[in-house]
Formats: sequence, structure tokens, C-alpha cells
Amino acid sequence: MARAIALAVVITLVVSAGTVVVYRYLVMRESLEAEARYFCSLVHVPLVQISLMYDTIGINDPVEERVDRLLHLNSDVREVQIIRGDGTVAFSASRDRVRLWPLGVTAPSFDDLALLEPLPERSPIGERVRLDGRTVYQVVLPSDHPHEPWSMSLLATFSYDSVNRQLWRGLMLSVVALAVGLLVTHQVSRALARGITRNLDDLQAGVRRIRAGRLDDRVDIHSDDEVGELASAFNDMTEELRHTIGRLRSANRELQAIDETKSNLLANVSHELRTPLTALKGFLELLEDGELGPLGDRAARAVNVCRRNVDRLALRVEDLVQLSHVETPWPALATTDLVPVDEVIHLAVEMFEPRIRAKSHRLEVDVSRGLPRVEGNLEQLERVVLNLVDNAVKFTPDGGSIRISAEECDHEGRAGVLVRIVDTGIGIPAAEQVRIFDRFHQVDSSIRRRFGGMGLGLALVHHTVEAHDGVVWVESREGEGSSFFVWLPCPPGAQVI
Amino acid sequence: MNRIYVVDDEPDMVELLATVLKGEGYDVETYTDGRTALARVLEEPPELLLLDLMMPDLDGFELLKLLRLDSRGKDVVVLVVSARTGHRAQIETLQLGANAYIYKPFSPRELASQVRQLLAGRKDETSG
Repeated sequence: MARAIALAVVITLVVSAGTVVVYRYLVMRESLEAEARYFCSLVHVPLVQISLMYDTIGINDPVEERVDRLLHLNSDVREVQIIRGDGTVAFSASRDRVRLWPLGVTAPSFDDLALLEPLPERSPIGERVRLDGRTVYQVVLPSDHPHEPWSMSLLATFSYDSVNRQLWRGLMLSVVALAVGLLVTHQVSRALARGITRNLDDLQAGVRRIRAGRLDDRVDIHSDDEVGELASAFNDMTEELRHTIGRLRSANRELQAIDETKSNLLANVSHELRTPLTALKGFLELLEDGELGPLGDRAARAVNVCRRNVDRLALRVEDLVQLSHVETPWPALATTDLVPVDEVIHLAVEMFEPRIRAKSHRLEVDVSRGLPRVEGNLEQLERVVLNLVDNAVKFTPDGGSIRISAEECDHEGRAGVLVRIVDTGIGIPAAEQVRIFDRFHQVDSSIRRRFGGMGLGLALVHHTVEAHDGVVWVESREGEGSSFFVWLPCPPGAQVI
Repeated sequence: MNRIYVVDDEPDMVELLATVLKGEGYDVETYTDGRTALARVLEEPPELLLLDLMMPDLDGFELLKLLRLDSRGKDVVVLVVSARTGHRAQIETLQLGANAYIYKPFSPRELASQVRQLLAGRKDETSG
């Protein structure tokens, strides 16, 4: 803004100064020319007299002095010539010398005799003439009787030097004045603008500080104008922001604390569940295997039911334990075996057989022969398959069908095994399909009520499969059924024996 | 005849382990207190020691450390049985000198298989 003001002022100054200088020059030139003509009128007669005297008497001694004195009446005169009627130059005088040509001596001729024609008024005529590359002012004062040999005309030449010098001086002065003026305007306009921009700068600096996170800072502007209002509004906004962030932070801390509590709770509870489970599982197996003596048919059946249910319970507890540790990645140092996928599938089938029969599901199992073994943790992979089959059985209504298959399959250039668990159950809505692998997620609360479960199984499946460097995904259509796919890599050269 | 000592503060656990192992034909002694067990092991070392970690007073870690410090306890095969599944527990016990680790809950068949393997390995070592 300061620049715009300065530019306007500069232009004004330049135009003003220019006008003044030019006008002054013209006036001075006029004045010079008028003085020149006046001078000519003044000195004409004395000079003619001097010339005549010299011609007749021939005295030249004080002539130079007198001529000189006359010439000094005008400071611009360069040369004066007295010209006889016949065109010969009687004498010519300039500041430094006088030259006389008496009658009889050949004198230079004056070229332009026409110039010496008398004028109606006996007044000098002046003209600007180019002479030796310079412009000079020439004044002619013709005599009354130009053709008489004793008549004399005057021709004077004046230089414009003095006026030109004045012009240059004027210009110089203008330039200096301009420079000073510019400086002054610049300072003044800056001072004026500073008042506004200082506030804006402060505001900008304040914004920058607050943006960098220093929410305790405030912008310190108290002017009455719009900038002050803006600053005030900005400060209010910052205050609100600070409060909101504070609230968010404490809410976040609370949530983190809750999450930690929940994790600890999960860990503790599952821990306490495992010990009794060990005793249950252990003795039931011993009973079932006949290690503790023979059992009657009905007793055997009862023991079988107990054992299978304890196994299911153990599964759920393991899910819980795994997920309370799920932030620290598995696998543990527990050995990685070469896991026979076909055996794992058959184990799952055996486990869920009674429920499958109870719900009249049609079960189809299709495991390729010679399936290569998968590298991984046997227990964990068992849990993966068991979870997926459990879901299939749980979410498929009576009379539906379940198909479990396993085959060799390459994925992204790596050899592996693909396990498919396909059901004709209630399916998963498209919008939910992304989130079903989240912890504690269930499609909706009605699912929890109808089917129970904790929403952990799929999260665990996802976690385990990823830890084994495999891939798990689902394809499903609501109301038609779901297909879960698990691909696991095989170590190179792993073939079934 | 292979002698196995079982140490766990839970009486039911001890009974289960004893039942399983006796059924496999081993000679089993049971202890529910760490100190008593350690004293007995150093007095007459068994072929295999089944050790629980979480016990009051002298816990599994301490017992294991003290066992290995003593020359008499150096050769005892130790199978740790515990509900703790985190890395730390495993690493620590293996660093302290345990031979193997089995998680609760386990199936008796699993346990029996592990025990058999460990004792077979030991026999190879001592005879080889």
C-alpha cells in the first residue's frame, strides 16, 4: 500500500517540477531575447559613432576600451558587427577583441544583405539561428539609409548559455528535491500504513503461534477497528479450541484407562479359568479313554458329552486369553510344526458332528489327497478352523448345508493351501463384511441375543492367519450364506509323506 | 523304573498328573510345597520333574534356579507345566534351565507323549 501512495506522489512531483522548470526556462529565454534587442538599440548609435570617428579620424586607441565597455552592458552577447551600406564590415567586436577594417582595406563581406533592408519601425529583429552547431540569438538593427556608404547596420549574436545553465541547474535542483520528496513521502506513508500493517502482522504472528500448538497464547491487539475485532474473535475461538482439546484429551485418557482395565480383566479372568479347566479336561479324558476303569454305555455317553463341552469351554477361554494379549504379537516360542490341514479339518468335523446332526445340516467334506503341510502352530491353526466351523454351524439354520474343502493353491506366486468353509446360513450384510474381523464386533445386538458368542472368534482367526503369513477373507450375501476362505503358505518342498 | 516327581500347589492338578503318569507306568511322587519338593529332589534326584510355576512361598522359577545351582540337580529333566502362556514366562524358564514347557489346559495324551519323549532323549544322552 505504501508503494501505491509513493508512486502517486512521485508522479505528481515529477509533473509539477517539470512544469515549473520548463516554464521558468521559457520566461528566462524570453527575457534574454528582449534584453538582447534592447541592448542592440542601446549600443547601435554609439558603435556607429565610434566607427565613423575611426574612419574619419583614424584614432583607434580608446576605441577598444569604449567598445568593450559597451559590450559589457549585456552578459549574453557574443559578437557585434557594424556593417556599411555596401555590405562591408566596418568592425566586429566580441568580448576579447575588436577588429576594425578601415575604408580601403578589404574587409569581409556580409552575406545576407537582404537582412539589412530597413524596416518600417526602427526596431531590432531577433531570430534564433543555428550557428556552428549551437543555437544562438541573432539581432539585426538596420540603418535608415542602408545603401549609403556611410550608413551602418548592427548585427549582434547572443548565446543562450546563461539560460541553458539555469535550465540545468533547475533540473538538478528538481531531481534533488524529488529525491528528498520521495524519501519523505516514503517515510510518511510507511508510518501511516504501519499503523494498519503492524496490527495485521501481530495478528498473523499470533495465528502462527497458536497454529503451532501454543494454545495458551493470545493475540494482543486492542485497537477499535476491524483488525481489533478480528483479533478478539480469534482469541475467543482459541479459548474454545483449548477447552475442547482439553476435554478430548481427558476423554482419551479415560478410554485408554478403560481399555487397559478391560485387558487386565480379560487376562486375569482367563487365567483363573484355565486351572480348573485343566483338571476337568484331564480327568474327563482319562475317563473317556478307560484309564480309570470301564464305563457303562450311559456313563460313557455322559462322559463324552462332558468332555466335548469342556473342550468348547476351553476354546472360548483360549480365545479370551489370546485376545487380551493380542496387542503383543504371537507366535510364542512354542514350536512351529508342519501342520497337516486335513487332520485339523477332520478334528473340527468330529467335534461339531453332534451339533451338525442335531440341526440336520448337510455336511460335505472335500479334502484333496496329498495336501502339503502348512508351517505353523498346530493348536492355533486348530483354533482357526474350529472357530470358522463353529460359526458356520451356529449361523446356518436347520436343514442348511455346510461344505468344508481344502486344496493346494498358489497365492501371489507362493505355494499354499486354501481352506474353504461355505455355508447356506444367514449371511453377512455387505456393509458389515469389512468389520467382522474386528474384536468384539458382532453384526448387531440381535445376533448376540440369538446366537450368543463374544464376537472374538473372527478377530482371533484374522490375527492368527496373519501371524502365519496367510490371508483370510469372506464372501457373503445376506440371506444366502457365507464363504470363508483361509489361505496358508507352505514351506518350500513340504510334501505330504 | 523312571521316577517322576510332580510339584503343584493345586491338589487336583497333582492328582490328575499322578493318575496319568502312574497309568503310564511311572513311579510318581507328589508335592504341593516347593521347599519340601526341592529338598527331596536334591536328596534323591528323579529322572523327571514336573514343575508348576505359580506357587506361593517358593515358586517354580526360584525352585528351578536353586535346582540348577546345585550339582545334584543338574541332570534332572524338568518339564514346566503352567497356565502362563506369555513369551516372558517361557523364555525365563528355559533360560533358567528347564528342558520343556507345556501349557494348561493340556490333554493327558499330550502330556504323556511329552514325558515319553523327554525321558527317551535323556536316556540317549546319558547312554550316548
